[in-house]
Amino acid sequence: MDEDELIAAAQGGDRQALDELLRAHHDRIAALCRRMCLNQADADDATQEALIALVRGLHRFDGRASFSTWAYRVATNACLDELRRRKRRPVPGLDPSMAPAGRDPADGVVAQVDVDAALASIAPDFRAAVVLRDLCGLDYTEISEVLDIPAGTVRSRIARGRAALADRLGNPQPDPDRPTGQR
Amino acid sequence: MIPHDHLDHLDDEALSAVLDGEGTAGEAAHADACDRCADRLSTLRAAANAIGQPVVVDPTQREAAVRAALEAPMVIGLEARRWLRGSRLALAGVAAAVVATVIAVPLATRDSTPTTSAARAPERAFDAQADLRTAAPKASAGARLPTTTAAAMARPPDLGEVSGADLRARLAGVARSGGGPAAPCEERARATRPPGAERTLSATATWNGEPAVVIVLRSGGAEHADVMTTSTCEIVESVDL
Repeated sequence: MDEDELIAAAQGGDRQALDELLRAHHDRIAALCRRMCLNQADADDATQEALIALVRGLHRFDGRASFSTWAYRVATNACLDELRRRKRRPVPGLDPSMAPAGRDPADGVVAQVDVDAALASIAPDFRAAVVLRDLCGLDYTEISEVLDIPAGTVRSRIARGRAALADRLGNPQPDPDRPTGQR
Repeated sequence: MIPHDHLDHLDDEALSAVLDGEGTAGEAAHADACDRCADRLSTLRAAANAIGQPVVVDPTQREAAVRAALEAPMVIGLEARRWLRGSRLALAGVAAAVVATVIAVPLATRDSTPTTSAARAPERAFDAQADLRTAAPKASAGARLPTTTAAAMARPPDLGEVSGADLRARLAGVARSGGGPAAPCEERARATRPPGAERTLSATATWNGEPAVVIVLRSGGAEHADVMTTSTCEIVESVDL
């Protein structure tokens, strides 16, 4: 069965099809949640909530967007909800001071803790745009659909998020002559 | 290369767009020709690559999460979240035990020494399945549900999207089904009503795209409905019926 057939079967109550559909999308959702939530326990919770929301909302999926885009939208919302729930709880290991200063991210693989610490330094809305682009590979139009914001705002959030991450992961001293282009 | 001090450099937004193939032809040409902008582009690319590093997903977690989603109660509140966490852990334990069994059985056949940890894997698999029956009763086919758990997992009616809807009209046709254990967020709803109010209905719903629960309480012969988001139990709609 291709994905459209799988979706139709799952919407019709075929449990095996629903199982396959969830399994096919689980890893992408889990990866998104891991980068968004910054720790495994919260990411697992958000992933679980996203899968349940997909099951509960499947009858409302009308195929206007791709299933992947819809799944990412559901997962992103689950992550943002999870972050809102946990915002008063300190996240272990994510003290921004943990990121080593002065490392050039172009040197090679950046340690997971560095990536998490860098991502923790940007607001969740900006983090979502960057993660959807750089981890999930969505284009600006798809990200615009997922986050329900104009494409121009997507472009701005990705740029500002990446710039902050670059400064966090690499040289923390911004070039004073460089225009920031903040929107 | 073009000497950069004779040009207006691209800002991060333009460079980031160039990186994603979303910049204009002029911006792309500039980034290619200007050494300073090319350097910054390289830095942004490195940051993007760092975020894009693959995330390793544990296959046992995948199995557990999918099964828990298929078996989850329809009301997602605090109790259900606890159930899900326990269910996931138990399912992951079973998956790990099954893997251990697959490895251990041939080993145990080859080496009959009963004290090796590998030879004990089937026992651990059995124990894990027993844990599963305790933590996630519906996840194991044929497992009997404790009465209270079965009642808690009975699916309440789902009212669909209720934000902006006529809640009175929506609830008029829904059969009342009070009794049973406390529903998620019921305590919050009760806090606004006279003591001893009788719950006549708990239902799931969606409010502005968020999972919600609807609790109807009867006191003094009149019914009152509260809509609460399940994540916070915040009352977002409240109406006398």
